[in-house]
Order: sequence, then structure tokens, then C-alpha cells
Amino acid sequence: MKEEKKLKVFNVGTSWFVKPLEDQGIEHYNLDWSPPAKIDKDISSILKKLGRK
Amino acid sequence: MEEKYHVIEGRYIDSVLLMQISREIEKMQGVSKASCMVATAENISFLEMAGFHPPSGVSGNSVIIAVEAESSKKCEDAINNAINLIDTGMVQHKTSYTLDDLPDLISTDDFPVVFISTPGEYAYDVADKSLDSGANVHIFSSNVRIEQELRLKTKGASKGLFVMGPDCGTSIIHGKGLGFSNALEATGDIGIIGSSGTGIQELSVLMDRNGLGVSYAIGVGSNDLKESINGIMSKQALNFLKERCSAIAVVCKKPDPSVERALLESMGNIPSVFISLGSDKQYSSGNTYVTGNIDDAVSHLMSKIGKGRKIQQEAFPKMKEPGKDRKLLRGFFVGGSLCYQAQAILHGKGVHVFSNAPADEQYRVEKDFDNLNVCIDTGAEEYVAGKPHPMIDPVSRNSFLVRESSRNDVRVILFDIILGYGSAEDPVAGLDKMKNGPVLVASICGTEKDSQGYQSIRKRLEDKGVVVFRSAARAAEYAASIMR
Repeated sequence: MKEEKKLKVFNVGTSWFVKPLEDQGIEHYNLDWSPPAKIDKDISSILKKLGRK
Repeated sequence: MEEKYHVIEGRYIDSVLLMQISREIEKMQGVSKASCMVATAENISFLEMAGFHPPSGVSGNSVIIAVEAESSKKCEDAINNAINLIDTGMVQHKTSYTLDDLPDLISTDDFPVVFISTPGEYAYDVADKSLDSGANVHIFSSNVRIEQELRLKTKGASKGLFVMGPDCGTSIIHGKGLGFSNALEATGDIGIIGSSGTGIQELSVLMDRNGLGVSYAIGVGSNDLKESINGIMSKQALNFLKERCSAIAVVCKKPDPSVERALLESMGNIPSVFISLGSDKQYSSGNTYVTGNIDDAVSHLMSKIGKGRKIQQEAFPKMKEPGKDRKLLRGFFVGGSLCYQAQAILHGKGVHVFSNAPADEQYRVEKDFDNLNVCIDTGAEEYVAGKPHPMIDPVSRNSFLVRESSRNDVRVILFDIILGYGSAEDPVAGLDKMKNGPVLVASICGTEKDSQGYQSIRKRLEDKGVVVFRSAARAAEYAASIMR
């Protein structure tokens, strides 16, 4: 039987699935995440012209 | 009664948080009903079904707060409370870590897993970055493009990392569940590979009940055994489990024949079962038993490694004739795999059922199924857009059961209840309103240790006259017997 490494969970998204990790005593981290800002098409094209993404 | 609405434009708020806030403001004095939802067309029609009159022209990029209360002032108080909870709820979940910190948080002694439940369009970037940081990923999100899935799995395999999902509801690592899973009691070292979350849950619970302990379940997502992904993660999982487990079970739906063949050939001599849900195959190949039925697979494992124990199947109770004018079967499932398995069992016994997630494409039906026998997967995308999965929020699924139970042409209502980590604290909420004209048949996937309490849930259903089975297959067989 293999010697197992320690399970460590990083949650990205809804916090709903954090409680099961707590209830089972799993070491876990909640990582902050939000959707990338949507850039208006006009601003995006200006930024491209300026040589930036 | 007064109604008021408030729309928050262009802001991302996860649907589970919105559901929790809805529940909170519904508890306020003077509030008769309340709902906070992402304003998708589906959700707007759900609000209308619930008796609201939401304003027109609200975009799916917005959140709508709808309140009905005894006065205009109570509506405004509830809306303000909801806005406050949205703001503070978001703040409470802030932590000091982001994905950029991942490499610093992982040590060589860890089995790191990034659990991703962002909207599907963003899941690829998060998963890709996590793999680059040396972490395995469990992608709960669906709607990840197949070419993105292939890229992630190819990268994961090259690094020896798991890409569980996309669309992966359940995994078990070192005996601990991720996503939706159950509090298992039996100790043991059986490994599961599954492309279906509720398939893994049903299988692990039935094994557990019969003394077979599960140490691993590698969820691979619904596409892994398709030709386009070619079983990349299933094959990796098989190699991983063969080093750690004394027996292996694979549970999947409609595997590509060449992927199925490759997996069967790779099983070697380890005792194993291969469950292709809905298939009518039943044969042994070397030390592997192939079947389409979860209960049959557990029985086989019992005979192979169960130390002489035998699976105990529940007897069918004597049925009361529900009335000759009652001819229709209504199945409403939260577990997609259980819906799939039920269809196959019903078809096999001559009861032809239509579905939005059909086991046989000729029986596909969308939402207009009024005069048909149906098994509906209420966790399918068209039912959950912008809402939590019905395993998290069973209100809409349970409202279907209540509505259909009052019809006088429905003979059998068949449904599933899933307990365990991640599932709703009260999965039978609202079912006390079900009428007993049709025969009500349910299965409960859960253990005595699950927080919802298997026995109390079972008793609440039985008190309503529901015939309850521990196995979804057995419940479907009973439903078929009533339809004949």
C-alpha cells in the first residue's frame, strides 16, 4: 500500500462546498475569485492601439 | 399583499449565496414570499410560476430581488436586508489568498486539489493556472468546451495530475469526500472511477451498506469516456487505483466502445466491475464483471470480496390499485445517473418513458410532456440555468412532485432523495403537500451518518405514504411493477 500525501483543498467559486470540507476536517483554503471585468469594445480597441492587452 | 422588485445590474453573485439570502428574507415578519435570483429568462418564468409579476426587460446579467409582503414598507425592508446580505455575504467570503498564492500554499507532502465551481466560461483559466501551480483540479462547473477539457486533461496527464471533471459532482480522496458525497462508515480499500456523480454516490453508499469500504472515487466528468477525450483521466485513475486498492469499480454512461475496450483490457487481474449505466450487457471478462445496473455490480463485488455476505434486496410492498384511469408515470430526479438508470430499468420491463436526458435518443422530450410517461433530470442545464442544482435547492424539483401528485391521470410518481455532504439540509422540504392519488415511490441515497438523518427523512416520507427503497434501481423496478 502506498504512503499517502496529505489532502489539501483550495476552493474557488461558491462557498457552498466549504462546509463539507470543514465537517470532514480537511485542511482547506478559500481562494478569492471574481469574474474578470468585462471591458467595453471601444475601450478594448483603444487599449489595443496603445499596445496593451 | 404588496409586491416590490429590485434589480442589481451587471453584478456577479453566485446562485447558492442568492438562495441562502432568499431563505433569510423569507423568514422576516410580514414577508409571505421572497426570491433573489440571477435574472435569466428561465428564472423570470419561475418567478411568474411562483405568483410574482416581475418587470419586463430585465437582462440575464442582473440579479432580481422579488418580495411579497403585507405592506409596501415590509417589502422595502426585506429588499434592503437582501441588498445588505449580498454586500456583507460577499465580504465574509473574502480571504487573504488568491490563485496567485497557490504555489506558496502547496508543499511536497500535500495532495493538493483545487475545487472549482465558478461559472463554466471561467473554469478553464482557473484550472489551467492551478495545473501550472502543481495542483490537481476538481471542476464542478459545467459548460467547459470539449477542446478546453482535452487541453486540460492532456496537460494534467503530462504532469501526473488529475483533472476531475468538468461537470464532476463527486470525488473521494483518501476516504474524504469532495463536492456531493456521503458520510461512509465501512473501512476498506475499494476504488471507484466515475463519470457520473450520483452514480458514484449510489454505488459507494450501497457498497458501504454492505460492508464494502471505499477509499477513493476519482470523478472524471461526463465526457471522459467519450471518443473526444479518449478516457485520458479514467486510464490515469485506473493506474493510480491499481497501486492502492484491492478492487475497482467503474461507473459511467454511454462510454465510447473503443474507450470501454481499452479500459477493460487495462484492468488486469484485479477484481473489478464495469457499470455502463443503462446497458443490458451482463458478462465477465477475466476478473472484470460488466453490467448496466449498480445493484447487480454491488452483488457481484459482494460475491467476490464480501466474505460470503450477500446483498439484501428490499421486498416489494403489496400495492393498492391506484385507479384504472391513472396511466402515467412521472419520474423527477435530482440525480442524473439515477434518472438514466431508472429509464433503462423501465424500458427493460416494457414501460417506455421519455426524458430530457434519454437513455435512448428516440425517447427524447423537452418540456412539453403532458401526456407521456417521463423521467426528468431536473439537474439538467435547462432546469438549473442561474439557479443552484436541485441537490442544493430542491424547491423547484419538489414543486414538480407536488403539482403532478394532484393530477388524476398519474399512476406512479418516482423520485430520488440524495443525502450527504453538499446536499440540502432538508431535501424533502415541501413534500408534505404531496397528494396520495398516485403511488409515490422514492429511493434514498444516504447513510445513517449523513447530517440530514437517513431514518428521519425516511420516516417523513413514509408518513406521507411514500414507498421508500434504499436503492434507486429497486425503486424503479417497483415503479415498473405498478405500471404493468
